Amino acid sequence: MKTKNTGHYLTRAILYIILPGMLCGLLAQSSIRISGYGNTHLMDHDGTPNLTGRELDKSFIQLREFSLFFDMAITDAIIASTELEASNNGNDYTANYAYVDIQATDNLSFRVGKLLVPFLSYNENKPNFKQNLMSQPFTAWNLAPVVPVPIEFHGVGWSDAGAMVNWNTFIEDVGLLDVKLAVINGLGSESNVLDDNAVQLNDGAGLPYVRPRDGLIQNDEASELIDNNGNKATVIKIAFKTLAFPMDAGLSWYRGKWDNNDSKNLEMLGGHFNWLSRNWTFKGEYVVAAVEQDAGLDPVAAAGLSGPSSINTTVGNYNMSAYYAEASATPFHWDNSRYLKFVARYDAVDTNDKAVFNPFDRSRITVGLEWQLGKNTRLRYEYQRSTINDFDKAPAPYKNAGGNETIEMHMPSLIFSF
Amino acid sequence: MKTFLNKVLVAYFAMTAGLILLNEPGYAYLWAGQGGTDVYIVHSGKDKEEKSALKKALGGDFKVKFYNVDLLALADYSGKQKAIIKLEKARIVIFIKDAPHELLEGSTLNTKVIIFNSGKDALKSKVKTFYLVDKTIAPPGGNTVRASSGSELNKAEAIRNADAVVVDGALDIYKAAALVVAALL
Repeated sequence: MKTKNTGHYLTRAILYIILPGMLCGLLAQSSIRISGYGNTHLMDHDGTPNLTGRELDKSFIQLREFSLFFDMAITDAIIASTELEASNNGNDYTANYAYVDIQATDNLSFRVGKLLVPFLSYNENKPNFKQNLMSQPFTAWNLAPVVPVPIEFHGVGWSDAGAMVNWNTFIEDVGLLDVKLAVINGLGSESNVLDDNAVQLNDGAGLPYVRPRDGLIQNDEASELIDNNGNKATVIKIAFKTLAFPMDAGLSWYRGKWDNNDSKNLEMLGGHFNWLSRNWTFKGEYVVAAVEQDAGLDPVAAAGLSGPSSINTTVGNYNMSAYYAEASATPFHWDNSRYLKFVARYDAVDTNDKAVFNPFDRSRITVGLEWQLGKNTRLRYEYQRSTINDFDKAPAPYKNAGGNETIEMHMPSLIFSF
Repeated sequence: MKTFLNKVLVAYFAMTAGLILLNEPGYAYLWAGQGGTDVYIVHSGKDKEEKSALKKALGGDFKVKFYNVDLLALADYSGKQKAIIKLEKARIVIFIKDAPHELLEGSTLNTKVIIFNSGKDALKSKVKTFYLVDKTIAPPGGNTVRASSGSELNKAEAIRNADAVVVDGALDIYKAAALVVAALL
């Protein structure tokens, strides 16, 4: 039987109990801290296809994120926290997380509420004041499920309602071993295919729908933390931080049923690596996802849309993979707070769609430059060049709509944090 | 699993509401048995000798807790501010050497802070920032007392009026730390 009670309860509890509760706490006592960050950017693409109602090549200025972090210490072992984020020019408001941490011992803690899913490294470190580039790597938004296609980009991370146990231990003179185990609602879809998203091209004629395999998305209901089935997903992240070097690495695993009938698995396995020193950073992630789904269905019809699908029907079970490697160098520092940083990243996603053509099966090179003007303010510029795989198989409507084999993007941005 | 999770969440929400209510000033006496933390010693995994020596020097006179800043490397992006608000629950926070400055850079605490054997100034207190260093380290400035025998630290008022103590000569720096903590508390 399909149940939605858990998600309904969670959503309403977060909205009506946790947040008002924290507000009451703010008024009642002083152990609360407010911090945050924000950024705005100009985004200018070249080579994307026109969609109905939107021409992606037109440049735009956007208030991408403005986030406030609220942390309230009830005792030093019990801390309630939330992040309220305004995104998409302030048109969307999201509690990226809202939870209570309970420190049971020095090495064991519990977290309950809406939490950042502990999968790989990027998702728990997403804010751009913590990152070298504005754009998210494919592992974070094109595979490990975070956001759907760019036209629906909301900029939020992957969070879900549930509970997490965090245990760590120090290995003498070697480093820190950290294990996170979470049980969450998990990803889901109301349709019979998981990646059921579809966009409509504007090629001046037939307005065909196409399905970009755009990642293992959270469907509308899941994004509201309402699960589409009774199965709970399990996430495990094991990470290790060395004492001798500024380096950490880890493995992450996710497994859960995604369909209405609790019968089809989504399983993901990934690894990450970080080297974070003052003058150099090296980061990377790799993730592979295995999806069980029925073959032969037309995803466009499954999504409830009419019109011809110019791409494909589902081929059943499939695997996807994505990875990124990023390096930065900060050769110039002034006054302990100002610097100039150079960044380069390569990432790629293999949608393994077995379709004639998929515009989301691609690789990308990103280079960037960051100038920290002061302690809390940065100017950043990045340039991207994406190359779509097997473009010789692109259908005429995609090309007629203006889609090119390579897509370029320029993005200057301003970032602040406090 | 669904039913179990529901029960856990209901218990959690009830507990959160209860804790928030009980934390209001009128109910503060209920927390008396919890006892506030006197001193948080913040260290990295590399500084275990300093951590142990400080703990030993402070002895049983104070309620002492530890926080290892290496945890921040594996925490999510809100880890830094959560660490700060946790530490502020203590009456004094001692930051050992340079690692806390690098990982908690730019933080200002609403409680007294002792910077132990570091000349860095990336961590501050709104109440009192106090440097306790050996003679190889220069504190950033302010009213500095040079202590060689301990007699310079016997008057609490002298410590409270100082911004830094540079330990020289035969005085054990951990013994000096105990005197400074006692004076500042």
